[in-house]
Formats: sequence, structure tokens, C-alpha cells
Amino acid sequence: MNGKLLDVRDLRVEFATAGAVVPAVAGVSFSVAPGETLVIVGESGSGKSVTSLAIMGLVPRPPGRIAGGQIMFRSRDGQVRDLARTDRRTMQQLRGAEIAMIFQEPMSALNPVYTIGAQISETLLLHEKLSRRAARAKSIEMLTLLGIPDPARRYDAYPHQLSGGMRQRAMIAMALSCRPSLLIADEPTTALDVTVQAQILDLIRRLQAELGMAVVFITHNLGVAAEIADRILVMYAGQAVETGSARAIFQNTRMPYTAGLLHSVPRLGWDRDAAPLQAIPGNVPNLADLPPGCAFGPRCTHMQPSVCGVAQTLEICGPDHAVRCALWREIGP
Amino acid sequence: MTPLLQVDGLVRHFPTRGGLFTPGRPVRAVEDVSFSVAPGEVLGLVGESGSGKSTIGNLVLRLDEPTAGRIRFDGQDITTAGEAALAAFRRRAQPIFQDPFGSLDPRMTVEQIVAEPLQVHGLAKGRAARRARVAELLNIVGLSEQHLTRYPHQFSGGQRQRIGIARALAVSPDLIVADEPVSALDVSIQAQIVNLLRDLQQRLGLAMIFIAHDLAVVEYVSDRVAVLYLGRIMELAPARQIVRTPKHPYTQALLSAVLEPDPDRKHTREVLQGDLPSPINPPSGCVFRTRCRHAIAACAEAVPPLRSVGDGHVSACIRADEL
Repeated sequence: MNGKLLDVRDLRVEFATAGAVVPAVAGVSFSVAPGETLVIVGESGSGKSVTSLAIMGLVPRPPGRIAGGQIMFRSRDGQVRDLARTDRRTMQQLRGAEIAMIFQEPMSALNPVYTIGAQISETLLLHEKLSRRAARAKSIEMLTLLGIPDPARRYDAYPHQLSGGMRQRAMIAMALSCRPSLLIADEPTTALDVTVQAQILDLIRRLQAELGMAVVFITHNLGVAAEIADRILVMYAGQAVETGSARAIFQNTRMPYTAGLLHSVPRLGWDRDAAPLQAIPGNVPNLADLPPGCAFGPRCTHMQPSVCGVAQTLEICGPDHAVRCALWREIGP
Repeated sequence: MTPLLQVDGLVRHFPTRGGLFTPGRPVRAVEDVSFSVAPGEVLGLVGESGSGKSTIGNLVLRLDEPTAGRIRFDGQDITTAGEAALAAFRRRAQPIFQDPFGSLDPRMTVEQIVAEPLQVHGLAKGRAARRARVAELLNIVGLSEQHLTRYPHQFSGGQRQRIGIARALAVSPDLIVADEPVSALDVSIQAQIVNLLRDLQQRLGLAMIFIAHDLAVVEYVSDRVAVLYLGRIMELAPARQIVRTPKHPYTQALLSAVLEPDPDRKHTREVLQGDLPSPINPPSGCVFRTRCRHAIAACAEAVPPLRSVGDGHVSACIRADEL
């Protein structure tokens, strides 16, 4: 594991649908060091969320199943486990205590009939030997840490009594109450307003430094990725198509898909009369009907049928930088 | 130039149910909003949830009735217009919606969807003429005749949004109200739709109200931008100006929260503290003062009017000159 906290190797996740088996994740590898932030960037159908569910052992089964690969995780006692093959009970002990997850929509993670405090305390009581009173004190401490005003009173509030940003904070408090070593954040700011998004990103960064936690952050928004990533993994149609340090990805972009995403989003102050936005043509691919070879080929302006028509491998293209494109040398950054 | 659309003192309160002995206090969704849109001009409305931007869009299309205020379209008051005048107005002002999944009838073919406004308004009479016009519209939005007989579920999100645009253009409108037309789409598809909207707007000389929460997209598409907070206009200016020289503290905070795909642009971000106040009980005076770092006692006294702070640039802040 080389001191890594999480090491995912050739992960494959399939979903059985009417008539076809869809490869939602088709051989993805990445690793995360303690305290590091890896951002997985992708659009709908890229496999980014399924990857995160697989780490949590939450792939719905059926119709889904982990069809191959390993998810090696180093737990606090130093033991290294393959989460793809860990029994349900051990997973339950790890989830919440060592690996926690936050979601896009806090109402789907919070139970509307229990108070915020009861839900945070429940996590603590389940994983740590604490009295109710100690759990309450620790929960209020978490709410304070998350910058929730008047935390002792909010402890007794129900989810519907809080604003969207406050609910998101309460959910994060619940996820972090046992101080996990790995946080998986699946689009946690997508449903929020931009000013609240800035608050929550600030908060995640601050807590990460304070708790020394590693974060796998899933988003479709490259601005969010630039804001918090140490390293980035760009996914397309179930595969990693570019991976590297945040700087390499943004300043030395090699994959035409990544470059397309970067150029298609308008930025403040862009001269709209100079040229139209460089849109990526075509549509997001259908996983049940992928083209042979490069999955991005049909939408790529550099596509050469003789080269791109066969399966592509992830090639090293620089220090801590790899790309799945046979033409990367010709195209240049 | 006389404006195509003139909105004066627009107010929309939504009633709420009170308690057993107390009457409900209204949600103040839109408070005293005035603006105009010239023919062929794009006005962007930007704001966060609860700012009233979508309510304004619905009021302008008369999909909703204002509590007070007046909306004039091409000189005619449409807030008091009768059925016949309203039908004529609706042929000239068309909506584009956010959700291309919810806004198309799943049981209708593309041809039926796009032809419906033609039938309603008695345009392109006869089946052949109608089909020809629908095919023409599909070509304009980047689809083709082979799509005529298909159903919405057979299309991707971006293609459905194209169908929605073709339907809006069917009656050759003068004004389009587009409410978050790209925010439900995948990133790689958004640029296609932004380019299409801008191209059509320019080619057909359409006036447009472009409603979105993404300031960069709004700046890109709009000629002028109005920044809304809690139902009121905080600042209104030419698009470039609002981004380069924002005068209102809320606009500045909103700009500061925009995340750009550049890891070296880690500027000192001014993170707005606190939550949006309740629109049932908004703060007195300036509605933004409870979250504004420049607020002083005088801000609580009276609602600051929009004052000129530059060429075509107005801001509702009593401290605009000193800040």
C-alpha cells in the first residue's frame, strides 16, 4: 500500500438491466494518501458515483455487483482489507467510524422524524463506548465545529426546521462525528446556492486539516475541483481518462475530453463576441452501446479511426500525470 | 428606443396559512421591481434561491398574477389585458423551461409538440404546411426531419432542450423568457445550448430574459444584468460592468463565490456568512444588511432606492459612493 490509505485497483462494477449488462465502472484504479483530497470529475453516466458507492459497500445488489478488482483500505488498527470482499458486519463497523459519506441532498440522509442531535448521537453511540450525556456533549461540540449558531438549541431541532446550508452542515457533523480517516463526498455542494457552496467548501477544507482526514470528492464542476483538489481523476463512460495532480490537469491538460470541459464553461469576463463557446459536440454516451476503442472518439475533434478505434490504455504523460489517449503526444497540451 | 417590455413596481406576495387566531403573513417573493427590455436585448436575472427571479419570469409571461405593479408589452398593459389581447401577447412572448424532462408531454411526438403552438395560434394552416414549418424549426435548433415521429424519451437532455427551444420559436416570438435553460444539463452539453440560444437570439433579433444562478453564464449571454436578493433588485448594469466594477456588496459577494477552473486563482474569498432571511419577515431597510459586512445603523432605516452609480448602472446601496 506504500503508506496509502485507500488503493483501488482495476475496479469493475456492473448493473444488470433488461437485456444487457451495463459496465458502469470498467476498470478504474486510483489511490488516496492520508490527508489527501482526490476529486473525481465526471458527467452523468461516467461512473463517478458508482465508484464511491463501491468503496462504501453500498452498490445495490441486485441489479449491481462488483465484478472485479480490489478496494484496499488501511484501517486504524493498521490492518489492510479488501472492501470489495469484506463481510457485511465488518463493513458496518467501518462505515461511519472510519469511512463516512456525505451526499448531494441532505434530506435523503437525515431522518425527518428524529432531531439532528439524536441522529448525530446515534452514530457516536453505535461506534464509541460513550454515555448518552457524553454523546450529547460531543454532538454539540461537532455542531459548534461546523459553525452552526446556537448549537445547544439546534441539537433539538428537526431537519425541516433548518435551512439547506444548515442541513448540509448537520449531515457533515453526523458523518464526521467519529472522526473518520476517509470522507467520501458525493456532489455535496451541487444543490446549494453559490454563496453557501463557498461556505461548505471552506468548512470541508478546514475540517480536513483539523482532523487529518482524506477526502474523495465527487463533482461535475471543474471550478469546485480546482478549489479543493490535490489530485484529480477524470472519468468518462466508466473509465479513468486522465489523472494527475490538480496543477497538471488544469495547466497541462492532455485528454481532449478534459480540455473540452475546460473550454466549454464560460468564465467571468470572457469576450463573447470573439468566438462562440467551444462546445463538445454530440451527446453523453450510452453505456449499453459504447463504441469500440476510445469511448470519447465519436465526439473528439482529433479522432483518427485507425488509431482510436482500438481499446486505449492509460499512459504516463508526465510526472504524476496519465492520460487515456493514443494521440496525446501529437495533440500537445 | 421604446422598450419592448416595461415592468413598473412589480410586487408578488404569496399568501400563507396563519395559526388558529393569527392571520397568515405573506411570503414577499417580489417587492417593487422595475426594469425594461429593449427589442433584441438580453436582460439577465441572477440571484440565489428565494431571490424571486423565477417568479418575475412567470409574472412577465402572465403565468402568474402580480399583487401590484404594471407590465407593459409593446405599449400595451398586459396585467389588465383580456383574453383576446392575452392570446395575441402569448404569440409574441414564449417560455423556455429548465427541466427538459418535465416540460415535454411524454405522449406526444416531437412533431405534435412543436406544432401545438402553431395550431393554437392558427399559424401554418394545413397539415403539409405545418409539417414543413416543424421540420424547418427542427433544423434551426440542430435536429432533423427524421426526429419528427419520435417521442421525448428517445432523446437526451440536450436534445430535449432543443425541442423545447423549437417549440418556443414556432410562433416567431419577439420575447423569450428562459428560466435556467442549461442548469439541468451535463457540463459538456451546456455550451451547445448556450451557443444555440445566443445564435438564435442574434439571428432572429429576439429580446430575451435569461434567468440563471450562474453569474459567468449570465454575463456571457446577457447585454444587461439585474442582481436580485430577497425579491428586490440590488444592482442593474451592463453585463461587463457588473462583473468588472460591481458596486453593491451583495454583487461583490456573489462574484467572490464564483469558482473558476484554475487552481492558481486561490484569491482571498469573501465568504458570505449566515443564511438568507425569511421572505415572510424580511429585514427592515436594506434586505441585505443582515449579511453585509459594510452595514451601518442607517441601513436599517429605509429601503435604499436604486441610484445611478455610472452609465446605465444603478445600485441599491446607500454607501455605494464611499465603498
